Amino acid sequence: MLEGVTIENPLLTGLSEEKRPEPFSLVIFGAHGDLTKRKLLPSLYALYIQNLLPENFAILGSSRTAMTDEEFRRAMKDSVVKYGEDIDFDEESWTRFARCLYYRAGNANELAYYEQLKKTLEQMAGDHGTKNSNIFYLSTPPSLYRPIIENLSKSGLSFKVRPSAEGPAWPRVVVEKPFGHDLQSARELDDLIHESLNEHQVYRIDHYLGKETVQNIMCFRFANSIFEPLWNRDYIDHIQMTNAETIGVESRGPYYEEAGALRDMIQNHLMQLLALVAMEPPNSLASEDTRDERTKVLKAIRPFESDTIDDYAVRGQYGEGFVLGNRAIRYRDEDRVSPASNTETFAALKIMIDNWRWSGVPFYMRTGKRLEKRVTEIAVQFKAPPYELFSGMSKTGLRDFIAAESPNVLVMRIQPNEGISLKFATKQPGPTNQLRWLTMDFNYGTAFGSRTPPAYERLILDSLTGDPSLFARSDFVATSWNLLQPVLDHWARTSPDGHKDRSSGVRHLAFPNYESGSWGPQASEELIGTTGHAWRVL
Amino acid sequence: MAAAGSTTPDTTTASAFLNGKLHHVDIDAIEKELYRLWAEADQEDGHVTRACSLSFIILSGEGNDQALAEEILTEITIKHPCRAILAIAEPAETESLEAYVTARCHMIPGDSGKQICCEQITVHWKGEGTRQLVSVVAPLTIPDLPTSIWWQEDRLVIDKVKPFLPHIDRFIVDTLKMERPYSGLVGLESLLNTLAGGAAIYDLNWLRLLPFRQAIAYAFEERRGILSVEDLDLISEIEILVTADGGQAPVSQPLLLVGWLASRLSWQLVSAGKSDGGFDAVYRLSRTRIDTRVKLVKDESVTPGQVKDIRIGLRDRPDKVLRIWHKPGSPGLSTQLVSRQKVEDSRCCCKEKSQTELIDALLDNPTRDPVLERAVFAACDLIRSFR
Repeated sequence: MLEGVTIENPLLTGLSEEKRPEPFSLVIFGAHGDLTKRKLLPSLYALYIQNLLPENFAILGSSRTAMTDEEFRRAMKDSVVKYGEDIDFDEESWTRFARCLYYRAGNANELAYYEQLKKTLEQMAGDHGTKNSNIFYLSTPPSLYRPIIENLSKSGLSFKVRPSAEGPAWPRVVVEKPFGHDLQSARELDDLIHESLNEHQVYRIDHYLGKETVQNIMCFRFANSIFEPLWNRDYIDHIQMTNAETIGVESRGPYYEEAGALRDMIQNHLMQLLALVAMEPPNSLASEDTRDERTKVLKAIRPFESDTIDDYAVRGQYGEGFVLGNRAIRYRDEDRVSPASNTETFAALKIMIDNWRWSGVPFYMRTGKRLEKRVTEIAVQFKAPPYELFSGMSKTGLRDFIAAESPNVLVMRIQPNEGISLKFATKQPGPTNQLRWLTMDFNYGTAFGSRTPPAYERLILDSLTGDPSLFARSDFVATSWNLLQPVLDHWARTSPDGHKDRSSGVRHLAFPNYESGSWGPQASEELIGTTGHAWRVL
Repeated sequence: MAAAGSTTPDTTTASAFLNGKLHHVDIDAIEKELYRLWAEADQEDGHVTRACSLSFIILSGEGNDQALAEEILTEITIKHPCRAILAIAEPAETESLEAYVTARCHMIPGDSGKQICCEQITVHWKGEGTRQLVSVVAPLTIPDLPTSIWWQEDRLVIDKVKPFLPHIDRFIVDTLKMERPYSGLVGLESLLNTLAGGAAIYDLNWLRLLPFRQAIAYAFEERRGILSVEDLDLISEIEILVTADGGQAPVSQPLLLVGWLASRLSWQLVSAGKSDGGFDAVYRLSRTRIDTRVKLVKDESVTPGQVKDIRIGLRDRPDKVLRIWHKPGSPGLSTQLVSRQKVEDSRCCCKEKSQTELIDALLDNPTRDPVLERAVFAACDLIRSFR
């Protein structure tokens, strides 16, 4: 054999790429928490029964609550049965899977606990053949990130490994959002992580990227030649991104008080969506190529200037109202929420991307709790035809009339009713040239009868196989924080009732400033209205 | 789940149509009648959503299990919304053509009473050949969407297949269930020659072999720590055990397996002959002689004709005999170098899959499979040398 020449295995030709991880031990910090019960264990079990885990693996749960291995297995079985709705649970496979489940209670702040974990992992490597390939999943409150990362390093469980052509490196760390509270804390967290791990060993979860519909944005844009030529300022008037929830803060009051809508949804999820919609075609689907493009477009976003932030950013907080027929209390009356809270439960932004493709095209984002309807979508509003040949013909309804100036809308529905629809004008049958707006609709549920894997299933598998494509890279997170920090600072400096409508001079009401069950504060309508646009009626 | 069942007179209403009643229609009014029934259904029941991502034809012949065809359509239309066309061809002296339509609906999981519906057209032809049948079926396929045909007939008569070929994108056959497996494979070969890069040809039997093909291929990957890719050139002996029921079994599956190895590894066929229901073959790679032997072993627990155990020996390396087999009680295949104690159990899905499951998996993959095509050619070289 010639040195340096790799001989390809001819028997592998035509066999689909095997996406199965190498043997591993997974340590879940926060194993008694909600995320582990609802998402992580059901996803791991689903991967197991689909034969997507290797022969040799072990999972070690970690939290403060005292439990034996058996008690942990029983609790996890209950969770899988309860939350793994679309999983074909069967006792036999569970019994085999559960043999690889372990639990060690301890205090994540104490180094001695990690020495115990280390011994357990070594034991597991011997018993399960996991080759000491360890991955640590931080499913804990963010306050524990620092001690966990520090102690993993001090105990020798985490250490820097250079990228290698032989495959993704171990150990790895998976970090749940939030990645910091602001730009400063995000940088500090990153610095801390990078003291003991290289970037390619870090997997920052943004579960939106694991959604099939979100992954499809890139496929839709770059696998179809009919849309990409139109995907620019010449043909697109503006883009609206909506993430609306009907629920309030529920039991997450203390977390939400610290976070708010901008940090909770926009800094991560909606920025990722924007990047996918606006990015340039990557050179390849290699993880760094796609992540480079996502970050590049974020860097082209026009920074928010402190003296004009109110023209580009709006916040709101829900008051009383009715949501889906149920009376809803105001945010300030929610459990463990300050009665004088100024935390925003609604945020809307107007974003301009200063690059060749998007110059002059506004991107509007809105997210909020206790809104009228649960929906996440991206709507691409195309420009009107250059000459209004059918002007005045389209008056079959108010909505048609409003839309008459720009009839074509491409909507990517992220949730629910995942799919894509394209709105277009057509002639209504009859003796006149009356127009009607119709939609061509693609719905995942009807077009694909097969099971759609939940986001966590995909992301856990990718972290185990070492594919970081669908994870947030350090520079993306930093760029996003950097962009939004002026808004956060401005909102921290000014009380929410200080906002004045420039055109009318009307002073807006203090928080709460929108009714539960509405589409957010009036200021949100004004934000988009100043450029002659209106939020879509959903 | 609405199943297509009894026929009703021409006055069929939309609700009977949606409930799976077969509705007799004139041959030249199939589309028109479907249009009418869907329009009525839309007015009567606002919860119906229609979906279609392909045209799926089942060609069923005399003596074929039409209940199985219906069962397959029931399952396939859930996962692959399609226009389903059940084309039945029965030889008869007196020619006749009849058509029926019905809907296949299922509820959307977790949704509020909404159902997704597909349409099924049954065309029953009695007469010679298939040309007249094709003249009815071909215009019924949906333009711009892929058309797949599953050849349920247990004989692959090229003259019957040929009229369909210009209208389809994917031809699916199952050589395990062929009445004459040798002629089934030779038929596939001649189809491939006829198509020359046109429609994709698929054999469900090839899909059944996938776990073995994967296990063999991965065993020669260095990172698995079993053998290395260089060892492929040292293969000198292969023994394949095939399940049989009372000493009889179709050997199309081991033929494809040997054909795959020979074509991928550039082995030259030297000689071959049948032996006790199985076959022997001698290949050569450079100076290495490769002896292959296929033996039948009694096993009534699975469909006869399935590969059960493979041993691969290497030249001058008696310690390196690779064994891949179904270990009783294990859900997947076991892989072992016989000189070592350690057995690597895979949990790959080796449970015997139904034809419906195999077709379902195939419909997700629309592309041609040149590896299968070469394996068929190599298998047919073997068959010809038996004679």
